[in-house]
Amino acid sequence: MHAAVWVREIWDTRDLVGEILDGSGRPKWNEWEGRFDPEDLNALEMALQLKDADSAWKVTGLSVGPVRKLDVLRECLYRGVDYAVRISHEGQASLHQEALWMAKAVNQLEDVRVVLTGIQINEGDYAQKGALLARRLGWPLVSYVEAIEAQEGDKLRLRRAVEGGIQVVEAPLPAVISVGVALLKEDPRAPRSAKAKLKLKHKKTPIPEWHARDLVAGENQVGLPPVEILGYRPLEQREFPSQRINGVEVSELKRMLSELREKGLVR
Amino acid sequence: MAGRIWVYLERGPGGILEESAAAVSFAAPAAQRWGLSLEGVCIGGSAFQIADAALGLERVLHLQGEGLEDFRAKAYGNAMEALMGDDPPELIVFPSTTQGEDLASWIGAAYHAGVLLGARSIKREGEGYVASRVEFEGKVEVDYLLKGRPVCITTEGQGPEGPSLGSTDVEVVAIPTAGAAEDATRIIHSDLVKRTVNLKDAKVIVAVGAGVGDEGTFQKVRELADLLKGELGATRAAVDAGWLSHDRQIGQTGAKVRPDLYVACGISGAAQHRVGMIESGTIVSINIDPNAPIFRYSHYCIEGDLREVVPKLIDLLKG
Ligand SMILES: Cc1cc2nc3c(=O)[nH]c(=O)nc-3n(C[C@H](O)[C@H](O)[C@H](O)COP(=O)(O)OP(=O)(O)OC[C@H]3O[C@@H](n4cnc5c(N)ncnc54)[C@H](O)[C@@H]3O)c2cc1C
Repeated sequence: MHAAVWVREIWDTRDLVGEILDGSGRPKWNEWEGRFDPEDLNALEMALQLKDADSAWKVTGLSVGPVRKLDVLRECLYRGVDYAVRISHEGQASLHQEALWMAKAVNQLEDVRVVLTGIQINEGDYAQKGALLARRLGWPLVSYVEAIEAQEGDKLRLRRAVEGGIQVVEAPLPAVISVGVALLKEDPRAPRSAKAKLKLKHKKTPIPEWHARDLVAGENQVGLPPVEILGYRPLEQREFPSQRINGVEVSELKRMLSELREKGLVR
Repeated sequence: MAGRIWVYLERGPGGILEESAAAVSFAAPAAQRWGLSLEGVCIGGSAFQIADAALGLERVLHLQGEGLEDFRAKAYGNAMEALMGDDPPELIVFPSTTQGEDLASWIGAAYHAGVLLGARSIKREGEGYVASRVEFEGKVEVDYLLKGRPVCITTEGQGPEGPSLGSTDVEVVAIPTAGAAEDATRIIHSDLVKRTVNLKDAKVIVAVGAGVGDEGTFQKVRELADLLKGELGATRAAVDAGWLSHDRQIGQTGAKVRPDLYVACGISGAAQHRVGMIESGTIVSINIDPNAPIFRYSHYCIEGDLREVVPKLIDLLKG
């Protein structure tokens, strides 16, 4: 039994201060750090938990494209995956293409029963990559998964977060699982850290590269990418004339409340 | 055949979701401008539920068949593919929900057509559509060219008139659909709450974050909300920690609110929370960390421990 995890390096665009676009109106990508897509990291954790529970599982990390600043596949090895494969290609790739190559790679690996990936929509991600992949593979898809509750033979029992609550779903394998956000440390998706022992072991482990061209060899190529970014425009930001208030000082709190009263916000 | 736009009518515990009605109002002016017909697509459920949210649609295609009662991505995706065959509409507008994301992506892959989740605007240009989305935590708007057919977008947007829910005499065409059996995924158990509060109409919201920490502090914040005649709201972290139910979540995956007064208690101010509250009239935040990001988006930045500050505010309001 084999679990594949589709992982990615993304740009860390949290809390950027100052100009985001350069003189030519493009994002200043190279000024930012790379990071492991946090939900992909949650997906990796879930795959590793399958293996923790049943050693018959093997886990493979898969990623498309070259390393920019952080090698997420090596990070996968440091956390305990059995194999890692990088899909290489020339030029830009759209998510549609990435999903196609990923589907081909999954089919080349032996006995993949489940593919896990994160649900996060990052800058430039126009679609859910798990759903694109599920359609390519023709497999069922369960998205926004919070936890694998149990494995019963060739089925997984999954808990997912949907609008207004939760759902427990039984997914027949093979299936694609998109994993949601873990905010709390005790969340079952909260990722483990890299292990020192594995870091030593895998510092230099070669990571095989499969070329996209070979993955789709002999097939009708998919057409041109149907999505293209045309341009970026800065949006005006709201200004906040703000006051600091020392929460220990009752007089300061009192003054604030009377200002709010004057504005009719507090009665 | 004249071009057409579809809107996905998603069912929830209380009938068609308001988000879908909003998507209809978003698509209606566009359809009119471009001379395209506007149709709804609903999968499973009863026709009675549909009539309630179909204002503005020319007709509704209602897919019915075994295995279509509960949403399962592959079953619903297959059903829509079967309906479209090789004559898909030009554009399908989905609400910005988990179902909308799954289906828009699924169909985009099936037809090798353009997709954009979270579109804010859309216009027609040449052979395709140009849709925009807000990225970089609300700081940049990005234009995407979407080609192919059907172009699939999800949107939280709505038309100038807003969503209109209410009975209408729209024609509902029942379409028997097979193929759901190919998806053997099974819903074992659902625990869904019908929305009990409408935070959108609240004038005052007191929002709880992970910083509340313990039951005693939570009760104090509740008392503060009562005194301010406000509704309680929550961050996702506070919902995940069990302080409040999901229908009180504010942010990207919760409600977008704009009360006159917003009081953030123990909230860090993550971008996914901010998008739901940044348009509030006056923002007061209480945080123990002087560098909490929320302070950059607040009019009154109260530095202090909730356990001290909230009781003081309560005393002052009572006094
Ligand atoms: C795809 C996606 C969707 C998301 N959707 C949403 C959404 O819709 N809504 C949402 O809110 N979040 C959402 N999030 C999560 C978001 O990124 C943040 O993790 C979340 O908003 C943090 O909640 P918080 O501020 O309550 O908790 P934290 O970030 O943990 O902040 C707690 C704050 O409390 C302060 N504090 C601690 N103790 C005290 C004390 N005694 N007194 C005063 N202050 C104290 C701390 O200084 C800190 O600033 C989403 C995330 C993702 C990835």
